[in-house]
Amino acid sequence: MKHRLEAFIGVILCIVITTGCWDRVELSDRAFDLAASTDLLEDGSYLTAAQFIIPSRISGGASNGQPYFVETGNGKTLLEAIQKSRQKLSRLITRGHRRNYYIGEDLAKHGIKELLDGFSRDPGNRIRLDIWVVKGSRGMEALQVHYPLEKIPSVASSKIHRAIGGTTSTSYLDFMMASSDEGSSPTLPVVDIVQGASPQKTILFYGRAIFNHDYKLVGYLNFVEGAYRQWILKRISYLDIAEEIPEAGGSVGIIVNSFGSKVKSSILGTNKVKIEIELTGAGHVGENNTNLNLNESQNLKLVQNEINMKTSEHVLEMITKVQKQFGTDVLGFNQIVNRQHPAEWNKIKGHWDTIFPDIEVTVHVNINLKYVGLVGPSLLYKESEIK
Amino acid sequence: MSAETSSKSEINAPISKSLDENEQLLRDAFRNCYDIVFRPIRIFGQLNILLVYMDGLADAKTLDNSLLKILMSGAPLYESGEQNDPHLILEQQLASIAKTIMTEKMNDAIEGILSAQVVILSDKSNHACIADLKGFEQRGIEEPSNEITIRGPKEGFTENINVNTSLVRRKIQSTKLKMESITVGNLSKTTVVIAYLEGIAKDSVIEEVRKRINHIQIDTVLGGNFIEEFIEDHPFTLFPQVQNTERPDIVASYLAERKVAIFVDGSPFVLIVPCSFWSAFQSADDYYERFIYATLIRWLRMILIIGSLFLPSIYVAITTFHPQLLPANFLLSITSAREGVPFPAVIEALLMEFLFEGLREAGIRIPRPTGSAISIVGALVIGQAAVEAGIVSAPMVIVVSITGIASLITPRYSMGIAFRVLRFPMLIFSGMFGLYGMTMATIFLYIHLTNLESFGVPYLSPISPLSRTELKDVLIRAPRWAMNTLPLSGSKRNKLRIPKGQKPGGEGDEVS
Repeated sequence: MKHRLEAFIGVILCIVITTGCWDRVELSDRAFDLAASTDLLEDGSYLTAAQFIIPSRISGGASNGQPYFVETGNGKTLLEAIQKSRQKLSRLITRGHRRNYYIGEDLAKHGIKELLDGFSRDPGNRIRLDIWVVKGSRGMEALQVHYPLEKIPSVASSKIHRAIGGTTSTSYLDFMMASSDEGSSPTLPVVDIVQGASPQKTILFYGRAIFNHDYKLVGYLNFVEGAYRQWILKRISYLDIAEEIPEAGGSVGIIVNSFGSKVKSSILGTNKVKIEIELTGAGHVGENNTNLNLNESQNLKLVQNEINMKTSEHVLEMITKVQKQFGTDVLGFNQIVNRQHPAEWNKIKGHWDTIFPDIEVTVHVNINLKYVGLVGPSLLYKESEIK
Repeated sequence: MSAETSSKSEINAPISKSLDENEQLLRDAFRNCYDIVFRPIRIFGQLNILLVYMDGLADAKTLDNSLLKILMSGAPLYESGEQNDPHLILEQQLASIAKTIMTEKMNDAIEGILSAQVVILSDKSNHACIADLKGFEQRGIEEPSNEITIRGPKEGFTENINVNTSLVRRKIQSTKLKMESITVGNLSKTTVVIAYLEGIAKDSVIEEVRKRINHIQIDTVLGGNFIEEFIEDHPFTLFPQVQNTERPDIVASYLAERKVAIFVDGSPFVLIVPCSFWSAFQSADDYYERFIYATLIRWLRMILIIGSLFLPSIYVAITTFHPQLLPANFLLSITSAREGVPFPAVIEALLMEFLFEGLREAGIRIPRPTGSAISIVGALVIGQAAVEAGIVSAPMVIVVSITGIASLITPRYSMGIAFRVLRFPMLIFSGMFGLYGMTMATIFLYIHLTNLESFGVPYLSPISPLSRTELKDVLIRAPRWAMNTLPLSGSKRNKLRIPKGQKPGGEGDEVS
């Protein structure tokens, strides 16, 4: 009691001067990778690449050169490949800010099981990671694209995804959840590397990649198909739909910005499941290439019904494609049946993969066109031509 | 030792009937004091009297007008007979001065002279008349320089205790306001006044204050802190347990809130006990502005003061231990700014904080004409040049500047000291252990704060221990009509301060 203060100060001093207790790492001793990629080479070894920022070039103008560089390493396993790239780096790799991870198509087809195990073991890996499949190309090529809008190009793909109405930062988590969920199959977003208007290549958000239970890529959904799937899963915030209206001899485009979806399941005897999907939405007219005056309510109704009908068909086509072509449940049907018929689910969950392709699906799209804007008919038509 | 005893015997001597003897005694006591004045006068041609005072302490002008003129010119004739006691004539007829005391002891006479009074001795009398003619030079009542308000009164305490007590007396015109005087300091003989509101202040606190001040044995008391260091509960803490203020309105408001004020002669700062941690966030202006704004400003103050304690530590902890906590773009800016800086972040922070404290200290001590030098040196050399030379990173300068501003925002300078000093250990902890270390240091700080108390009142009250009715003036500043209970009353017997139901615009308003 008498020497409590002295003892306290002594203990603190010991900690201060014992070098082992200072486990800080300065910012200038860290290499931040904002994106990385993994590819499968022809000889079966992995090639990892990471886009590291060059801090001294961040604040300077464009004259300083690119504020990032790509470093690679390859090896028999993922860890060995990373070890190879560490041998080239003067700083400690810090993955806390890595938000994008690109996988080449070859690796995706081969299966990404080994990759995911490494991910889930690394505490420095953030859980809000987006994993992308690079369609028809290597993952590393996505890192090498110089995207003109962003200082660090690797953030472009997730920003594109968000800007067009998708949900970002959840694909890694969703993938892991879908993998561990009975019956469902994981998906990942897809980017495509295309020739831009300028000589440079640029990134295009393509859609969704579908994986089977062995974490192997089985196919792609394009952008609109992917959006329909997101609509069913209530993960969409913006969608443009343009449909032909045969009665009016033209097309009408609408912008949907409010979405809802209701999925109802019913069990029809053994191994027979029926799913009714009702997709609702609200939007407004974005373009009108017909001679209809949309200020007239019967015209608007006509357009609305036509679009709903056409969209229902398209959604059903997408579902049929998933059922017949891929045979993987990426639409969350397993969860619907599980929630709505828990007792039956326990009986059928063991062979869901055989049930899923034969599910009878009906789709009703119900988009409500709330307003058409101040321009009723298209301005290009003379008054006499307008119906 | 012998001188001590001889002077003791001198002082204890009674005043004798012989004027010469008395004069000799006084001249002995005041030997080698150039500022003592002996002025012998002979009135009515027969009576010798002697005026003794300290030059510069007594008011010479009033002395001339109200004493010497009357004595020497317009004095009535001395009738020996019924009123033959010369001192009575002096006191009752000649000295036209409001406050006089008659004494028979030489001791009192000497003390009177030392405390700026005029002692009148007369032949054939064993009494001395002590006339209060204090007239030494002093500062007038000015606006307090350290506690400025926008809408509050502009008067502040001075170095004169009589002026100070009168300033408070004018704000509380009630016989409940008691002011007890104690003399402290065997050389300085400083008057210390304990002021409280009888029946409102806690008796136990008054008794404790009285006891602690009476126990002080000190030679000189030159300021409030001389008393503060003797009466505080915990000497080894950075947190002041005695509040000080130079505003009479603050003293009056605290007296009404059951606290005790201690005036110290010669100091424009009045001490207030007991004091709570939360008073660090209360400014006088909180009570002169409307309550919504006052509450918002109080929160601003709290956030910045807490920020001044943690901001450099958070910066160091996050950049060196947890960079993933920062948004990517923010991190990129910091990383690029830190590129090429030679020191680790924690060393850089300690260096800059140290320099800031140096600048602040120099700003106080520097002679006024050279004051502009410090701003040039501070702004240019430390801010701009150090960053451009790549010795210090720009974010660190920003952090240190914000911390500097925030640390000086507290309305109570002495409380701000605690936060300013504590940010250094906090910085070392965060530099070693990151946010974990900061959390541990904060827990240590909490434990320390909950252990403190000021005159029996827990330092963190009314938050800990919680007293719901007193929260009206801690995290918020409730409107005046809602502050209807007295603080420091504990939960058991709440004393009503003002009647309830005075909220304007309510039903009661419509009825009347």
